[in-house]
Amino acid sequence: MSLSAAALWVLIGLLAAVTLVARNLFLVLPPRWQPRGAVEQALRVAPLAALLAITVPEIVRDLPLRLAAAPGWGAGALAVATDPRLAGALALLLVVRLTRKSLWGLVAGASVYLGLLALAG
Amino acid sequence: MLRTMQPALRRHPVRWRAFRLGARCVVPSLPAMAAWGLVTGVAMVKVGLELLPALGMTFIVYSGTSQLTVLPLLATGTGVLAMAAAAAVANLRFVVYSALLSRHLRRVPLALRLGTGFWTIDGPVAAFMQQQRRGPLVQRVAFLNGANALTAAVWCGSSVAGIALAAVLPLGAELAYIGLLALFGITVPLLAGRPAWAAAAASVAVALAGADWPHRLGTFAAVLAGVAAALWAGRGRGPR
Repeated sequence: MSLSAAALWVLIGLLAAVTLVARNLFLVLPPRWQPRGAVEQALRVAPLAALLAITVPEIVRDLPLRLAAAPGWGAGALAVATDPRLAGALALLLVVRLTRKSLWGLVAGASVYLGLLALAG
Repeated sequence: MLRTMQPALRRHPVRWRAFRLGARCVVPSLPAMAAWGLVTGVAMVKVGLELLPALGMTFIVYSGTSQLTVLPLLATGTGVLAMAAAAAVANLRFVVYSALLSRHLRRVPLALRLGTGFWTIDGPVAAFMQQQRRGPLVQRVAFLNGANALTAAVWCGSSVAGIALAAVLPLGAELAYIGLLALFGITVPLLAGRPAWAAAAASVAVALAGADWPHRLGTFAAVLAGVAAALWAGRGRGPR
């Protein structure tokens, strides 16, 4: 790392400012700038959209490689079904939908993921 | 902050109850926070940050998104302003969160509004929206701050643990993925109703298309696409 100590603290200050501005932008704007009506309703899905945008690309990250390495439909299907990341996420999804408990879903998802990783050696 | 808030909260039982409810509701997202905090702490030390700057990043910046964006750039000798700009782009989804929260925090004094906005991150926002779907929520600021306080404690605690244990802990792709699974776990209960499913489909499609875009621009584009899809799917319906 080539940054001096002073530059590093400047960076930390700038990052804190960036965080403060991003998280407060609409909280300090005049009320007429604040979203209302249909837009405000639609914004309720923002956390869902953000969390899916962060997680899904990571969940399916290895699939193209696994599919490319598997010749034919049968091998491809097996490669998808045994992908540890995807199988873990699907197990979590199933358990959360059935039990409505995220923690149980995490236990199931992590177990399937680590189990398949161990099997794959 | 929590120590100064607590006596005031205790004098106001309804507010105190909302604060504790917020803390309870955010519990499912805590494994994700713990895993990501640990991974971020280890990553900061591995990239060459010394103890004080690493603690500064944890407690002053308080943004895993910013930290994980600039850490690879620190290693490559990128300029300070370029790193701040990259973090600003990566943080754009929080601008959308601030728009979402603006109505709820409108009448709150400025200092409390800024403080609450600063430490409100994904888990507490998700818990807040989920609780709102269950019915009218009283003392919304106290609820948010209850969720924020516990989230911040877990994030900072695990990040410090990562900094302290970096020498003995491997970076751990497995741990990072389990943290991601935990985030996915708090996402699943939010999938209810036509606008939510439309938002999910649009967000996933754009996120996959933009997975390789720089500075997490794909994430921001996916959030915008999700909100636009929810707007489209909810047209003609009154407020619920």
